Amino acid sequence: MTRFHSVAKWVSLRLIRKHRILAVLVIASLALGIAQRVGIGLMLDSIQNALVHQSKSFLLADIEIRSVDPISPEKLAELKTILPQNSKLQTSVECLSIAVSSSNYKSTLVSLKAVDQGFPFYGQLKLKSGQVYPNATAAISHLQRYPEAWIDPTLKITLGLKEGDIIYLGKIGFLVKGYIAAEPGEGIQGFSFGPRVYVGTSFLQASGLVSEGSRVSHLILIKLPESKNPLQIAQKIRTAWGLSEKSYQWRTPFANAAGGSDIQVTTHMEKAKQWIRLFGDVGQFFSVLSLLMLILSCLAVGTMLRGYSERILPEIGVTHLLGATRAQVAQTLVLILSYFIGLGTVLGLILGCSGFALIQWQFQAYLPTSWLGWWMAKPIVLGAIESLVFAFGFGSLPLILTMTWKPLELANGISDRRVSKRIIMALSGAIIVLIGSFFYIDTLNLKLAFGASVVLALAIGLCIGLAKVCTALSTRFSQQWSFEFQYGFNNLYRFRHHFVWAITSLSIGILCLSMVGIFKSSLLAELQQDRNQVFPDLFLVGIFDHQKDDLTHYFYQWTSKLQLSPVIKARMTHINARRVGNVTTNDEQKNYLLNREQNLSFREQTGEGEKLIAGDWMKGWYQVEASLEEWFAKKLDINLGDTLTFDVQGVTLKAKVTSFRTVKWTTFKPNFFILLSPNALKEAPKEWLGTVSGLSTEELPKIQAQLAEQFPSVTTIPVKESVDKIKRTLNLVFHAVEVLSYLAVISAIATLVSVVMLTLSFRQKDVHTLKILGFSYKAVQQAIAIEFAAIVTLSCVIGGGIGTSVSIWLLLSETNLELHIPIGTLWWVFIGFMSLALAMSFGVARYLYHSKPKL
Amino acid sequence: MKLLEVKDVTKNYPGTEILSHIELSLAPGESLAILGRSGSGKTTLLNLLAGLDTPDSGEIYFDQKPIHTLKESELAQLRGKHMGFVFQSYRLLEALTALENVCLPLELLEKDHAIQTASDLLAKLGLESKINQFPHRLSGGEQQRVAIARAIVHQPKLIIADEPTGNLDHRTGREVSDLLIESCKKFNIALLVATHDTELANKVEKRVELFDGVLKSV
Repeated sequence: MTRFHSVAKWVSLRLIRKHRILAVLVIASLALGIAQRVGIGLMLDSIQNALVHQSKSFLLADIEIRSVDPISPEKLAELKTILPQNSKLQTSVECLSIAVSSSNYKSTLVSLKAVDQGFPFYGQLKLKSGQVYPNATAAISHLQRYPEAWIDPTLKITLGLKEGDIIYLGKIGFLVKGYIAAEPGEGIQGFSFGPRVYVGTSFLQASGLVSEGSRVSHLILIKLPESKNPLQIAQKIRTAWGLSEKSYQWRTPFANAAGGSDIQVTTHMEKAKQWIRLFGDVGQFFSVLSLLMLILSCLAVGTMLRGYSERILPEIGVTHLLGATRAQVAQTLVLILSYFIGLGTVLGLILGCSGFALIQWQFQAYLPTSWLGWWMAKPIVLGAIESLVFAFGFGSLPLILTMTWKPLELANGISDRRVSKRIIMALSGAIIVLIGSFFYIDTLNLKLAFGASVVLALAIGLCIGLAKVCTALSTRFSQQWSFEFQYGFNNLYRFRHHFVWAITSLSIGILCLSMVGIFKSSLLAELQQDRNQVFPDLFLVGIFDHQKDDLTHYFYQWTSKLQLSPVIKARMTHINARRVGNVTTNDEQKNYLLNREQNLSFREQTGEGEKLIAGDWMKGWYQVEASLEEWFAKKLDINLGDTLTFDVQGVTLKAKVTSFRTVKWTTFKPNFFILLSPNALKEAPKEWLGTVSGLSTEELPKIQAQLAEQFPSVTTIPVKESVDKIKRTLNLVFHAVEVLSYLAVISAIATLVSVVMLTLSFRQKDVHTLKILGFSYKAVQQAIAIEFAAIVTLSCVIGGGIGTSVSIWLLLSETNLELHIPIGTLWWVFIGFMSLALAMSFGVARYLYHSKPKL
Repeated sequence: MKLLEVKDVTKNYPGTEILSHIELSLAPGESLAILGRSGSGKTTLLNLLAGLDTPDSGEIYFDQKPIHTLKESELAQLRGKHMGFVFQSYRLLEALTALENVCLPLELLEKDHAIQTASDLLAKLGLESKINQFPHRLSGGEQQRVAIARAIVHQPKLIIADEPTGNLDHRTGREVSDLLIESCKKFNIALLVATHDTELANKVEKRVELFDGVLKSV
């Protein structure tokens, strides 16, 4: 045994060396799959780890108290008695505002943060003035005495600002002292609406940005002594102030009158959980996708190893004929497999970690990230285990099958293709997927993983079935065609057991690309302005009754009409007889929708982008009626005829649901989940939501600047800027998915190359014969080109067809998006693959034809 | 008139003289067997005669054309039109059926009714039921008969056969050699066959033997 072990070792190494190009392809394909799995795992865990361990820096405190109105002096005094000794307090105010440059009157939406002395408690704030990094603590203290601002460097370009310029925020001009080089919780800030501007809290009142009911958040940041538990202290505050633990912001100037409260007390641990939930959905999507890519690349490895095992059969078989037992032959095969998978895994882990470092470095400004640490062990080990399960599973199947052959079959390289063995292979493959997914199911969502596995299995099954049918059909019809077509198509059939997997891999890569393409273009088209869809120029949020006329008059000067929609704050208390206040279900989104502050509105008829899909529009003669948005109603299990009870700022209001509407949210027109009968809400205290259209690009900055000065409490949101930001974010996500799809395609191309390598000796024989028979290089080239072109065409038809059908089905059944197929992009994908295939075919033809034939 | 004429041809591989001053001629319709042990240079000589290799010295004429001076494309044309080949290992294209394999030379010459001609020929050779089979489904004898059909279907002037019975059992070998010789006679095709098989060699009109690169009459 020991002696044979050493023989097996050198035989296996010799065999790898003999077929080294194939070995490189197998290892590269495996490494790619592992690299993306580990890289994505590391990235997701890095974010999660950062959210948990840097939550103080992200929240900027141990406990944050957030409210619409400033905390009253009585409550503040009570708070001080609750807090342990040596606790520190800071106040801060956050709001969106229009910033205007005094030098050129350019304006933009900014995320304003008014801060107190000693800011921040946690994390690091770095400020830069010229080439100098001033003491941030001193600079922040200075803000309390002088109207100065530290701004995000992007404002240098957007507003053309430089140090010493004046930036207007509301009614006050602030001197730009310098730029923010780094701020605490930078990754989280990436999700804010506009670039950050820091000013002192002492100048806020005079700016006019803060008045009763304006859309600002008042914050009290608390730093506790190390030994104190923030959760216990937060609970004490909530109990003292009569707040519920799970508070869904009840933000209204009338909240107190309604008996509710707009105060939220959050510890850094609770906030971390919220952020993790937020990232969780996106993370889960990427995790499922990376798992699929890993399975695909391991399938490619299995395909290559199958071909590889057939190629080395005669050599292995000779040892068998010479008297080596099956176990000893198996030892040689296992050694080969281990070398491949070992090398592939190590290379994949290195690549994955390097890729992660690169992505982290690129995106650290947009995402919360962690650096080196023990947290990295979990994704690396988990990724490696999953990869080993899949790679060993798929890789060993063909080798195990080889072991069932008779010695002479082995020596002659005659493969056994009995149906029973194919069924065993397919079942074994399914078991491997289940075992590999078990690790995943254990760590993530069972339903999603199961669904993804079923979809993958169906997609692969469909691809294999269609590929087989197409290759079989191709030979049927080729007999009437010229030699080039006959030879090309018959080769496709002849090597069908190899090509089916190449076509399947390529199809799935193309399937992913086509789905990404269709979803991306449909979503982006939805956010595109054209003749049919014109977005409003401005959104004005938080307009009070007394500002309505002034604002209408203001826009009248610009020959534009201000469209106003009423917004009435309310809380849903009952659906029929069922109480919904503080309801907790397993569906976090449902909890939020049930318990959050609802924005009610009313209108005489359906608005732009709205369509009545069930029931009748409100008549409201003798009862209060409600029209609900379809998704909202479905999510909360509300049916036509149900009665909803609202607490409208202290007044109880019952409404019968009489219609459902679909709403096209991407029109950026004022739209609401709940509309009630106009008569019922006319007298309710309300604020207004305004939209303005038809302003020219030259007028817009000037108007924004004037609004910021004359109506500082009204939040003005330039729609185009916001849409552009959404588009940028969407593009970023789609790019990430595209990269994963390209990895699948690379893996598929590696499979295709390996198939070509495996069939090269047969082709060589053919081409020599053709050459001897007098066939020209051109004929051989054309025949091989037809074969390769057929593979790409089949893959594009299968992958593109399935991808397009699934996308159409998903878009039509699950979203309100209009279908937009990017035919140009899909063509380019096809042309790209076709060019690659033709280039490959020319290379192969050249290599084969120019080697000298012998009789 | 001579179909094939070899004048003072010599071929060396580094350090070894494979063929030495070979003189050979073949008339149209004539058959010649080249005998010799393994490594005697038979296959090298056939490679030179088929234009697949070039001599170091000497001249080779086919139908009065100097093969040794022709370009690659001209040689391909010459082989396609005037020569047929039968190999020891059959060399059928695995991707094509028996019928498609036989059609190949006709396709190359753009002949009309290729399928009909090829299937008629296969039927004459007793392979009617096998025409749509792929080579791996055929026995060795059947494959070699398909190869002979492919070699004669376009009625070339010369068939070069390299150990045509080498991979066959005695009985099948005899059937195949009879078929090859009869077909050549029937269509007036010259036959040049390299073989170990003395039974086959005795059936052809002329025999020569290659011994250490030198050609001798037998």
